[in-house]
Amino acid sequence: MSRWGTLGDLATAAFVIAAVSGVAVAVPYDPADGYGSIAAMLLANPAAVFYRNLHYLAAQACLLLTLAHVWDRLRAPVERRVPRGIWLRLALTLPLLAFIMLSGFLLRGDADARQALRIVTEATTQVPLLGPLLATLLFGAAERLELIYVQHAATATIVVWLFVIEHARRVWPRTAALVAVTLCTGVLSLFLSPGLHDGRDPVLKGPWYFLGLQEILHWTAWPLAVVLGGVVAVGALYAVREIRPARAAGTKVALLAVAVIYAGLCAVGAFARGENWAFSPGWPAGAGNPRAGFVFAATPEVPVPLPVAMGRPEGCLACHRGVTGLGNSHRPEAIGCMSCHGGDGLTLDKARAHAGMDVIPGNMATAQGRCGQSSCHASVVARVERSVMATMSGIVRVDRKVFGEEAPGDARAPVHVRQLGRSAADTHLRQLCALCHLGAAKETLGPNDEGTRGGGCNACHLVYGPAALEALRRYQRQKEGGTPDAPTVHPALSLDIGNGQCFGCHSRSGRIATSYEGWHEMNEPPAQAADPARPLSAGYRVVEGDRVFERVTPDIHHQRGLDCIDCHTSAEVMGDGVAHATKSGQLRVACADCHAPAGASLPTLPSSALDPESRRILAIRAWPGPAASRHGRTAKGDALVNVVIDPEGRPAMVRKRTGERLALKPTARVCVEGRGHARLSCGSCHSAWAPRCSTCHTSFDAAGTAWDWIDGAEVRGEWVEKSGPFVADLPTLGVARRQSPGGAGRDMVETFVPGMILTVDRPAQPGRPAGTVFRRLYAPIEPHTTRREARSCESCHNDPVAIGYGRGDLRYGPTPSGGRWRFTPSSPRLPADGLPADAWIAFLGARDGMVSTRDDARPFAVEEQRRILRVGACLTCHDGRSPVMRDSVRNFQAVLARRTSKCLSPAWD
Amino acid sequence: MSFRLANSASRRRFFRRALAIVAGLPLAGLLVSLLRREQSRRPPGAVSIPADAAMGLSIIDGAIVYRGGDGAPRAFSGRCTHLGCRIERVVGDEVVCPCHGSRYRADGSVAAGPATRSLAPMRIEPDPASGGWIARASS
Ligand code: FES
Repeated sequence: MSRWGTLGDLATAAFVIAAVSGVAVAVPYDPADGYGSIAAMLLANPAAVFYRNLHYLAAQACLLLTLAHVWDRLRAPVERRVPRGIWLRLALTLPLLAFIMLSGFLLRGDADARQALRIVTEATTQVPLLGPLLATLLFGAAERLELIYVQHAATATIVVWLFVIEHARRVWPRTAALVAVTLCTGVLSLFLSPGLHDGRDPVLKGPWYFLGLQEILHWTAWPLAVVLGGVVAVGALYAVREIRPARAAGTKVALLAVAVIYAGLCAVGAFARGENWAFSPGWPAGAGNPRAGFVFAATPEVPVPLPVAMGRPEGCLACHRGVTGLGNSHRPEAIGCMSCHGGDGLTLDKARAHAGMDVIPGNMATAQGRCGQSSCHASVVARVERSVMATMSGIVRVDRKVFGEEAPGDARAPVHVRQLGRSAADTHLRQLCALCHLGAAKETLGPNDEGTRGGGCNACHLVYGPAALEALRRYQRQKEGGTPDAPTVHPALSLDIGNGQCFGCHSRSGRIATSYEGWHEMNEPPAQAADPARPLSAGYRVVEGDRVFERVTPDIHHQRGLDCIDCHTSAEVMGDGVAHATKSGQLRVACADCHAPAGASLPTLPSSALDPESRRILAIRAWPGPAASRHGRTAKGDALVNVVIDPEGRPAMVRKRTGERLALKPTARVCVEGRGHARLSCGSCHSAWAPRCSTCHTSFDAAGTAWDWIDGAEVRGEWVEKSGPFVADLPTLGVARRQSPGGAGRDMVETFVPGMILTVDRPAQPGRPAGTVFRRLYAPIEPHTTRREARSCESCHNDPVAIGYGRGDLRYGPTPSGGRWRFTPSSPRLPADGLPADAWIAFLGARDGMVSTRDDARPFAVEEQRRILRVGACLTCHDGRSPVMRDSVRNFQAVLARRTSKCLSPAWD
Repeated sequence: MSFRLANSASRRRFFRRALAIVAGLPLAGLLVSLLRREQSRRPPGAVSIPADAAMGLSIIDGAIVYRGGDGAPRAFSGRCTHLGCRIERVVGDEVVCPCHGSRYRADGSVAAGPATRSLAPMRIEPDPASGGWIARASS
């Protein structure tokens, strides 16, 4: 026995301290709202926090000291000196102590405790015969804490205390032991507080001494094994008194071995288990773990009453008072700060409150736990995560296809940019493409600008108004000068989504954002761009990254004031919940959804049939004027909330951001006349131009270094891209299969640009030597350069670029055997396949194999080229607007029958 | 079998025990019926699935909801069949129990243990008021 008493004395002292401090904690604790009452203590009652810490630490000490005492006594050995009845009760003290500890943990009422309560209730219920009765007796029936509180504070504590008194033959512990334990736990209690898990951290763990059980339960489908194991251990402890000394010694060693193994399992649970009990070694940092910090640290004045958000006390609002700008749905007074920003809202100490905070929430990596919490936008975030803007599936698939890395059978399987590997194609994507997806993180405060890519939900919905911008600037100025005040105007989370939000990503690749507004990127900036003395005229625009654009024809919809979101619906942009392999699978709107074919009317639905999402959007937008009784409906069945039908049956589009109404006109009659153009998409006639870049070369420089956007790190080996000249020109036409809802696919004539006429110098990879890949692929494009007037007949039927031959001289003339088309390309032929550099197909030739970035797209077949050129032959004499050519659209055969001897039909052989 | 009270002390013990049994039985009965009452207060689980619920797997008010290509939802109890934890996360095409890591597929079947039993399916009924559906715990 030391001067502090035996280990038993110290354990008793810890027990008494825990029991007495428990009485102090019971004053502010409310079993009807366990979490809320502890949260209130943490925020406003340092004395209660101290007693809670003391209660917790003394209890942990009691458990450890009791175990040490048991081993100490078993080693002595003294068990035979203890009367049988007392020995039995002492053996039972261990499970009783475990129950007191566990019930104390359950009384936290936090996320960890609620799950633990479900587990222990279920495990107890499974005990044969007595299980359900026992579970109800110990834990109550309905996930409430009142009964557990009584069992913890009264029943089990009194029983254990009686057993201890009977065993120790004294009511109070020795003074020295009491002083020693009080001092140790008291000092620690000033700095160490047990955690309280608000449920936002996905890592869920039980108390540390039960992590071994959690680990065992991870491996066994038979939870009763754990109960049985406990019974056997207690039985064995009791038995050491009853069996022969030699056997008892062996049993003690076995018990010690089990205890050591169990402690190891607890350590695995604490240090090597992460989210969903997955193996992830590291220092435990979850919200349920104890936190360090001086209990009586100076904090701002405690507001009365305590600020509450989402029905729970939240300390953030004590300092961040009166924050405006977020709009009604995201008011801090309603949802608090922690819902989105995390951190620790259960302390008023700034450093502790801000530790682990998510300054820019809404990035895809954390969106599910922030915007996508079950009570907020869970279903929307799940949709967005599967959408092509998040997965980049189409881009990844095309790149792998070009590099010859598409696995067989993968043709229609969606992929995700997160799963990129280290192959040549994947490293190419990592370096050059993997920045333009919603998963790219927004890392700096401020509005989305021309260079912004990604940002998850922020990419579209984070909107800085002038006041928020001014507040941010002031904050940044103050920060440079020392201690800043937090901004009091928050940027909005809004449906007011301007075109600028789309710009960062969509001004690249197909460049629809810039094309729509009538800007064409130049690969050579004009001479004055390099001369600061000569500013660029209004005909040019310089955007982030020194990219220079020249003014060309904008889209008619842009000229009429329409924003991107006026056409693109929430279901289309955020996805329909299905992971599509390519963008085309996710598209949900079409021109015909707003422009009814001449003579027909738009499909509509009554406003009473609007889906809940559409209703919510309408309620938030609250456009002026009477609510429409009917709304537009897309061919895919989605509601178009901003296509409204007036009482006279006239359709109009409401500009989503302003409420302005614009009449919607049907198509021209010529669009629906005859069969000649029945397969033409609207864009094939009405697209004014598309950005074309005909050749590029991609090579790998093993000595260079580049940035890997997925890993966020500099890597060795650099992909270098050299592109050919950009031109703004009429798009090429080709054929793509369009899936109609519920029907069979249909081949439609669509617009194409040279997607990838490229040579890739591919490095050696495991199992594959270095080599050169040449591809000649055109990509379907919706250029977003729509004009009211259609392109001319000649621009298709007599134009080599439109048909797919590339630039050159396409000429029709007589020969002895009839008319004959001839084509002289103006681009040099590429040695790889002998075709002109910008061509898709050879003149009147066919191509097989990989011809387009999309599997269901192709150039015109030979017979289709002949049909186009047959009309082209007529157009060499007859004006496209002449009656005879109008007639030919309606019935070409009838027009052919009216041929005169002057007409020269083409001969093909 | 004969039974004889040896002396007055054992007679007293016998009467004391008999009295304890006579008094204890109704008390135990009362306790059992009290517990039954308590259990019958458990509310029946009903979850409202909005018409715009996400396609694929999602968790709505604690229920696991799967909407396939035809849009019709299937729902399962979010209570892990291993030891009753509430499942709160969708990971890829599966839901994962946070407590011991059991994984379930979209059809409720077990993809990885420790659980061995599928999630309990819920009954789905259309909800004319919201245009969506109501999922109820199957009795
Ligand atoms: S309770 Fe779900 S895995 Fe154990």
